[in-house]
Amino acid sequence: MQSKTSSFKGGIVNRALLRKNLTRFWPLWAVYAAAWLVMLPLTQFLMLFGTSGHYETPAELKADAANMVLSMASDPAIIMAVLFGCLAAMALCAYLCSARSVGMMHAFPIRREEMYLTNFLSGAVAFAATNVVVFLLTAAIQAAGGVLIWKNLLLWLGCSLGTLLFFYGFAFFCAMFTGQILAIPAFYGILNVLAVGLNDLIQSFAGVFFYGYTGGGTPGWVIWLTPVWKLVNDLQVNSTWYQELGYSDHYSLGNPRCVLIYAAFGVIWAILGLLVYRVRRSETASDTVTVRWAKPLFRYGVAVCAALSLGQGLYFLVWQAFRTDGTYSLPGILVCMILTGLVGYYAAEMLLRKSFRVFRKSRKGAAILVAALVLFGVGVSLDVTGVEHKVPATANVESLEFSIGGQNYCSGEITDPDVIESFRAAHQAMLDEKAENLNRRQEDASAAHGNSGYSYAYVTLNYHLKRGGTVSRNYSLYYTADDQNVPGSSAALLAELSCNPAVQRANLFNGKDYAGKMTAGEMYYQIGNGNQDSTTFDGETAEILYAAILKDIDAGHFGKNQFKDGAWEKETYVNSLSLYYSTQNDEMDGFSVDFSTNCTYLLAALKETGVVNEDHPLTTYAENNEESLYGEQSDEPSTETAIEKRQAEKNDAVVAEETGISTEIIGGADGPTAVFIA
Amino acid sequence: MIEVNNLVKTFDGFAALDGATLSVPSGSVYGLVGPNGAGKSTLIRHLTGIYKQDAGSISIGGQSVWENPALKATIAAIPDDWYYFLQSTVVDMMRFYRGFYPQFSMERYEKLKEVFSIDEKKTIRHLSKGMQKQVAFWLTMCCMPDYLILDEPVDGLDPVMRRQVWSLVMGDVAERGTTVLVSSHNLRELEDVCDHVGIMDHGKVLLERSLEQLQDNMVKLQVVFQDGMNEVPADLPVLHASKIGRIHTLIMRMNAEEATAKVQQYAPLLVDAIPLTLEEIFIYELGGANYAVKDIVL
Repeated sequence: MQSKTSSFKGGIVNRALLRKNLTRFWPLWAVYAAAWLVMLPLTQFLMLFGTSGHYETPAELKADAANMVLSMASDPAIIMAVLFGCLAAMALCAYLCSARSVGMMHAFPIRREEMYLTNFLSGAVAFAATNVVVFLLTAAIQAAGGVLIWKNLLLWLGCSLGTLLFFYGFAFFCAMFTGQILAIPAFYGILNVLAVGLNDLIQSFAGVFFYGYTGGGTPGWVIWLTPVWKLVNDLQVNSTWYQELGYSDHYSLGNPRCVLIYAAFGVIWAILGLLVYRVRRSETASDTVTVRWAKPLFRYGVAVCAALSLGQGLYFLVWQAFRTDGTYSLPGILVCMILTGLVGYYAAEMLLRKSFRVFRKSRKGAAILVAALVLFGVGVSLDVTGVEHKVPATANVESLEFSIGGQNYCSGEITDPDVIESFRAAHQAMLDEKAENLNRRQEDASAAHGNSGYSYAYVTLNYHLKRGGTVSRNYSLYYTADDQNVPGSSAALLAELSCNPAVQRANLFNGKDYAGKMTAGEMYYQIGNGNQDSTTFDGETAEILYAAILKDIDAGHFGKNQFKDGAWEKETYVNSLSLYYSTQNDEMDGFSVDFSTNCTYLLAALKETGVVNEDHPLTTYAENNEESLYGEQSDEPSTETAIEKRQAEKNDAVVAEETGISTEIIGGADGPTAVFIA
Repeated sequence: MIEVNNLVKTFDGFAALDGATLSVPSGSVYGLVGPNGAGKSTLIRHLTGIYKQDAGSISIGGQSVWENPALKATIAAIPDDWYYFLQSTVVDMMRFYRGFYPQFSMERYEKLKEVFSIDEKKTIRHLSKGMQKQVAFWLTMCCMPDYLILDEPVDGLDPVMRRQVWSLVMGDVAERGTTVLVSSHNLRELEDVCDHVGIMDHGKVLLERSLEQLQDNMVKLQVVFQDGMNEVPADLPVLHASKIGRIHTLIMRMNAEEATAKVQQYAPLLVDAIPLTLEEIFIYELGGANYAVKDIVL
C-alpha cells in the first residue's frame, strides 16, 4: 500500500545532517577548540597559578591578564577566523565537489535552502559552542585568580565570533562558486586581498605612464575591502603607561565596532551564498567555476590580473632595462601586457574547460582581451583623466607630507595653507619642467662617469586630502647651480622652501615645541683620524641652544645650502648636536641637529656656552676631508688608541638599539638619523 | 505514475537529453534500456531531483519533483555509483538515511539484516563492491519508497544475490504497489522483471511499450523458400535478414500473423514465427537507429 506524501514535514535545519556534520568533522572542531583552550584558559591558568609569575602586585597581574584576553581578541582571533572559517567551509561544502556525493545529497528529500542552512549552522554551532566554553572556562579561572574582567572577556567573545562569522560566511560564499575543493581556499584567499592587490597593481601600472606618479596610497574603502588588514589595524590593543606603577594598564581595543560591521557582512555573504547555491547546478561538481555568469568574470579577471602584474614584471625585467631616460615605451608595455594577459586568459580557460585544447575555441575571447588591453594602455598613456597634471587645490588638502633630498635631507608634515600653496607652486613648476628634466636625466645617464654637470635631488609629496585619500608624487630633479637664480623654477622654489621656518620646524621637531623641557645635550666633534668624541652639557645650556636653533630657523638659516652643491661641504659641519628632553611619561627622548656656518645664532650660542671651544672645535666636511687626506699621508703612528677605545665604547652604547630606552628618527644633513637613547 | 515530457538537458552545448518523453504507470516495473551515452543516467538524475531540466517537465504522482521534499521522501534511488561517507559503517549510513526519510522502517532494516548478512559495524569502504551494492539496497528498501529508481542495480552482485534483490523489489511492487524504474544493460534479467520497456538513444526515448506489445510488434520468422528462390523478395518489409543453408531468418516489424501472411504469398516450403527476446528487440530497434554491431575486420 502506498503511503501518503503529506506525512513529510520539512524544516529549517535537518537534524540528521547537522549531527552528521558535527560528528564527521570532529577533528576540525577539536583542533579549533584545542587552539583556543591553549591560548586562553590554559595560558590564563598558568599565568595566575603557575610559578613563573613576576608580578609585584595583584593589580599588575590583573592588568597583564586583561591585556592577554584583549590580545587574544586581536591578531589571534583574526588568524583563527581566517584559517578555520575557510577550513570549515571546505569541509562542509566538500560534497559539492564530487558528482557522487552531490548526487546523494541532492536526491535526499530536503530543500536546497535547508541543506545550505544546516551545513552553515553546523560550523557556526561548533565554533560558537567552543568559544562559549572557552569564555566560561576563562571566566572561571580568572574569577578564581581574582582578576576577572567581564568586559574584556565579552569583547574577546564578540570579536572572535564576529570575525569568524565574517570569514566563515565569506568562505561559504566562495565555496558556492567552485566545484573543486582546492579552489575554495584559492578563491577565498585571492578575493580577501583582491582590492588592495588591484589597487597596488593599478597604481604601479599608472606609475609607468605618469610622470612623478607614485599612487595615492591605499584609500580607506580599499582597506575596508581587505578585511584582514582592516581588522588587524582596528583591533590593536591600546594601553596607558603608568610611570609611577612601572607597568601599563587600562587596556582597550582600538575599534571593536568594526567587527560588528564585518559580522553583519558575514551574514550577508552567507545569504548571497545561499542565493548562488539555489542557482548552482548539481552537474557542476568538479568544475572550477560553477555559476555561468561568473565564468567570464573569472576568465577575464585572471587575464587582467596577469596582464597588470606579470605584464609589468616582464616589462621592467626585459624592456625597461634598455631605457635610461625615465620615459616609458607604450609598445613595450602593451606587448608585455598582451603576452601575459593571454597567458592568464588561456590558463583560466584551461581551468574552466578542464582541457589544454582551448586555443581554437577561445580565439574570439582572446581577441576581445587584446583589444581591451590595447585600448586601456593607449587610454592611460594619453592621460585622459589628467592624473599626471593633477595638483590638489590647497583648500582640499588636510596636510602635506614632504621630503626633499638635495644636499641635505628635509622631511616632515605641514598643515599651513600658505606653505602648502608654496609646495603646490614648486610641484607645478616640476610638472612644467618635465621635458627638460627628462632630457637632463638622459644626459646624466649617458655621461661618462656621471659627469653631466647636473646635481640630483628628489622630492616626494603626499597630499592628504580632506575628503580622504592621498595624492602621492615623487620627482627626480636634475638641476644646475644657476637654476636657483631663475625665478619660478622648481630649484628656486624648492630652495626657498627648504629654508622656510615652518618647513624646518616640521623637519627638525615634527612641528613640536620643546622649550622648557630640555634636560641635557651632547656635542660630537672630530678628534682626528676620522674619530669622534663628544662633550655633554646640562639642560640649561640645552635650552639656550634650542632657543638659538629656533632663531636660526626663523631667520631661514637652516636648509639654506640645500641646493648649493659646491658650498655644502664648506658650510656644513661634521659636528652633530643632540638635545635631550623629557616626555610626558618622564622618559628621556631627544633629537639631533646638523648645522652649517649659516646658523649664526646657534654658532654664537655654542661659543657663549662653551660647548664649542678649542678642545671641542667645529669642523666642516671640507676641513674634515682635508684632515683625512693629511692623516692618510702622515707617517706618524696613531697615539689615540685610548680615545678610540673610549669612543668605541660610547658608540656601542649609543647605537645598540636593543639597549636604548628610546628611539627617534630625525632629519640630518646626510639623511634620516636614528638616535638611540642609552 | 511517472511522466516525463520533452525533457531537454544540455551540457556545454551537448544535448544529453533531447526531448525525452516517457510514461511509467503506477505499480509497474519499467525497464529503461539504451546504448551507452543514451541519456539514461541523466534522465534518472532528473527523476530523483538532482538535475534541473533546461526544458520539458517531470511529474511524479502529479507533482513536480524539483525541490519538492514531500514528494522526494517517497522516492528512493540507487545510482550506479552509490555514495557513502568514507568513515561510515552501515549503521552510520542507516541513521543518516533515517534522518531524511520519514517512512524509514527499522523493522525492515532488522529483517533485511538477515538477508544481506553484512556486519553493520564494518566500515563500508572495507566491503567489496558487491557488498556495498547490497548495503545500498538494504538502506534504500528501508526507506519504504513509493517510487524506486534504480540505475544498474544488480551490477556487481552474484547470481544468488541478484535473485534475492529482485525478489525483494518484486515483493514491494506486489505488496505496496511500488512503481519501479530500472535502467540496465542486462536485458535478459529485465525481461524477467519488467512489464514495460522504454528504449533510449541520443537523448530521446525511441519507443516505449509493455513487454507484450513490444514482443508483438516485432517478429522473427524462419523461412525456407522454394527451389530457385535464394534471395528474400525485395518487397518484403524486412528489418534484418540472415541465411544459414536454405533457412532465412527474417526480422519484421509487425505481428506474427501479419508477417506470416506476407511471406505465405511466396509459397514457402517452411514458415515458423519465433518471439524475439528483449535483447533482440533492443538490437534490431537500435539497428534502425544506426546502432548495430558492425562487421569490422581487425
